[in-house]
Amino acid sequence: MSEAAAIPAPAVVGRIRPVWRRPLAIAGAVIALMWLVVAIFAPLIAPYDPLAQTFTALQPPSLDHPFGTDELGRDVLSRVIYGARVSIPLALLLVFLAATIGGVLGAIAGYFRGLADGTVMRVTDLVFAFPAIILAMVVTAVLGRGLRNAVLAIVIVAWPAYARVVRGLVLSIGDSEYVQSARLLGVSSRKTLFRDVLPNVAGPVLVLATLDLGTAILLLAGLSFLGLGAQPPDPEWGSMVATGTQYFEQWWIGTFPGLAIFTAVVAFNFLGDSLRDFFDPTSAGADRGR
Amino acid sequence: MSALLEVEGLRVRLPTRQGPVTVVDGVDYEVQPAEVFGVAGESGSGKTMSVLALLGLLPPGGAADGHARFGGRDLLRLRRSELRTVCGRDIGIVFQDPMTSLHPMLSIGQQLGEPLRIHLKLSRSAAKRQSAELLDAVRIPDPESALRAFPHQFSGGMRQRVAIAIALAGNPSLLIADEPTTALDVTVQAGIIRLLDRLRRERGLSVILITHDLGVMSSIADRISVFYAGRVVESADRKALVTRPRHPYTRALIDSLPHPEAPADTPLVPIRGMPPAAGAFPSGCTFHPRCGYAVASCTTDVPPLVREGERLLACPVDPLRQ
Amino acid sequence: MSVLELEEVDVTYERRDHVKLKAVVGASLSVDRGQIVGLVGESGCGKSSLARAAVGLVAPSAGRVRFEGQDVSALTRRARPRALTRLQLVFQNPYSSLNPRRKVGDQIADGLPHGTGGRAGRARVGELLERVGLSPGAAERFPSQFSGGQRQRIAIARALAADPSLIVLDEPLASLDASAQAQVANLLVELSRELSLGLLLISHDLAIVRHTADVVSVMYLGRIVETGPTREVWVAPLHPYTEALIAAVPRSDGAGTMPDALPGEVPDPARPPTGCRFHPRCPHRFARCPEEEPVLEAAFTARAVACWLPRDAVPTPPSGRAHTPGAPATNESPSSSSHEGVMPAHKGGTA
Repeated sequence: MSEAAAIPAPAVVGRIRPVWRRPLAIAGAVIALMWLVVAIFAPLIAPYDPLAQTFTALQPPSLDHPFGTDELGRDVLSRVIYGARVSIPLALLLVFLAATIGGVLGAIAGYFRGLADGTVMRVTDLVFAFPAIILAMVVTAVLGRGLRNAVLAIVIVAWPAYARVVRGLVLSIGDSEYVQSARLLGVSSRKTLFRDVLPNVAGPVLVLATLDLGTAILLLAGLSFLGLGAQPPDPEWGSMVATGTQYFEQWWIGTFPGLAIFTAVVAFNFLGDSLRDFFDPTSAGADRGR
Repeated sequence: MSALLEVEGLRVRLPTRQGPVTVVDGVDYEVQPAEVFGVAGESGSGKTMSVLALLGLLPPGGAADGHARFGGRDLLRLRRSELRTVCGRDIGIVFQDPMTSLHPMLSIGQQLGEPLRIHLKLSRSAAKRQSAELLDAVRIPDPESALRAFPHQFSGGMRQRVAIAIALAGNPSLLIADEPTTALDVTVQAGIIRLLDRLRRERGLSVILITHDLGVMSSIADRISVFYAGRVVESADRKALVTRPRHPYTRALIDSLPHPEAPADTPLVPIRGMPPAAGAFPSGCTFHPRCGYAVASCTTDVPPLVREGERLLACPVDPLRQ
Repeated sequence: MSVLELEEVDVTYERRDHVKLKAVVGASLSVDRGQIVGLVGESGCGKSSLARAAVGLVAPSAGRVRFEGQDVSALTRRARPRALTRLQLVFQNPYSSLNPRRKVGDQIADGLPHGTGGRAGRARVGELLERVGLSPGAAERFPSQFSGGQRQRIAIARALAADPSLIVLDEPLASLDASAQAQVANLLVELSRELSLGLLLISHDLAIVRHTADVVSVMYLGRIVETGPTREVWVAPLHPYTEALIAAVPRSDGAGTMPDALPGEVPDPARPPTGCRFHPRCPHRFARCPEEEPVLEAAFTARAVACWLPRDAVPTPPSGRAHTPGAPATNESPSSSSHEGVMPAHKGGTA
């Protein structure tokens, strides 16, 4: 008695909107893409050399200098554009490192359990006990100032979240019935790890990473604001905002870099939220019927 | 004697990714006072949706047509506020899963008290007394302390009894029970079946009992309607339907179930194929692809539900008539 | 010759509050080639834990599990020894027992002996799919494209790929529709007969077990309380709990007989009653019952029961039910609560 497979009853849905009808996702994607383009093509887009101190200092925004000039006579617009070259790629690198390190450690913890699990978990507990910015400050204080150490510091602060997520998934999928069935059929547990568990890990990690991009940019800017990250004369949004606080009357010096930080962070957050809804429609953000 | 509930031409449409689908396609039935009315059918037959439509509990985007006359009013035409009153007071509902149908954070007393104070306008002390009486009616031991307890302190069977007590709080004339015993062990199920039977006799309560379990239905229902793919295919009193089914689906369903009272080697005859999914109902008689007696007209003509004495039958071919 | 043998198996869990819970105590049963053994019981009786111990997903805390003469070792990180892959398990929920992201054919192929790949492998997968009543083309599709009954058949095909001599099935029919239940139940019986496959069928549905199993074992609160050929147990149960279970199954003859309820509730497995675990709810209990716990002992031929009631001769079938259909209820006395499965409050006793 052969049967053709039938598609089971279509699930009753409220209104799951396809990607192209979600305004937040589109806005996020567009802005994020824009910053990426800016970062890549900065030399072609920026009107002036960001380090050139050739202009009249402290000029308000004008046609020549849409974002005005700063205290050393540099064009703020060019500096904001080149700032993207610092923040965006570093944030991407940073998140990639944190996700990889955290993911591997989390997978080891979940797979081997026992001592490995306990050790990794206690270390993550330790890191979580500190506010991110404080810990990052401590690390840069120890290692010295500069962008490279700032990146390192933030990686140290960021990896535990990935370890937790991946460990949780390795444990729960490892205990799932289809993995147990495979094990009973003779498949080794290492094979099930790579074949069944890890593909399911990609989604949540991607969501976390996208949301983390915003945090990374913010942390980087924060460290630079405190003088621990980017050093003068590098154009970095956070240090530009720091300068802006000393020149309050010349509002354009701090506001435009600040807006850059804001838009970039918000864009990645929107993107991350939409990705999360896409992967897990049961989460609170999804617009769905009963 | 006029019917307590008269459903006529009920149609229910639900939104899906592929557009609206009809899950209930023209259903008629009547429930008399003090009667247990069984609604039998497999998943996807529309039995639950037809009842949710009466109570205004369809998922967002769902729509219902037809008439449902109850107490001189049409349930499908009532405003939300009026429907809420009717549902709290004149119609009680019990759902399948006692784990999720009770509020986990409110005490039993609070959950029972709510309908009593809102619908019967009882004072706090009167509500407390009445709550204890209700718990006693469903045979919860030590009602006074039970009122202070929380759902997680009770077993599944006890929770279902509490759910029934809450459903009876407004002193309804109709109780709708959707798979009330499916999640329960068989010995616990037996207790609930007996409880429903006693409540029906003591209070003159009518019960719409929705279940896929023909055994449960056969113990307690007075009349049974069989649903298939959104329509009623046969409706008769219990004994007649179970011992002399006339619709090929009813017959096939009975043959595919294990019967405890039949000899052990009676074969289980599965119904070939699968119940159709909503939105993909076959044309004509929806059962025709799986029916051993189908003829050409079955693929094109929708069989009307025809009254024959005490029985309603939707099968013009009627191959099983004695 | 027994394919699977459980000898005095205990399965212990640690609950969240660090209380050690014995989900299964002293369980013994055996399954022969080509035999279908049904294991029935209600919630909390430990049948699922027994199933997991039987295949080695969890190690028993006492007793032995032997498969084809070898001890069944629990799963570790290493690949399962080939000999043990002939002992398979089908889970209850066909929606979670298949990986949603892998093709059906690939999942079935997991069970094929090493080295069966390529064309031979694909052919074998096709054969297995047909054996369970699906088309070979199903191998290219994903689980989400199938119904519950079809998915359960895929899970069975996957278990068959390992050429098993015994399959443990944990509530395989529970999540299925009436149509699918009959199809899968018949399939299981066919496979058992054709392939001389032993089946340990765990279910709460007595009626289905009666139809499919040759031998039935009844569990209550972690203990096997009765075992015997299905037909005999059904007609003349020896243990009061078995009697109660059978009486609680609704009859579908349309006569309107109410099933009998069993008073009281299943006690907390962490604190079972003293002596016989069933005694607080047993209508036949006497002095010895709360004192000593009875063990499963042979009674007559091929039957066993764990109960202190004397068995001198072949028991007669239980008497007809007390409740006559349609009879009006008289003034209800407190004791009639027990008709509805509730232990009357004034009786002192565990409930």
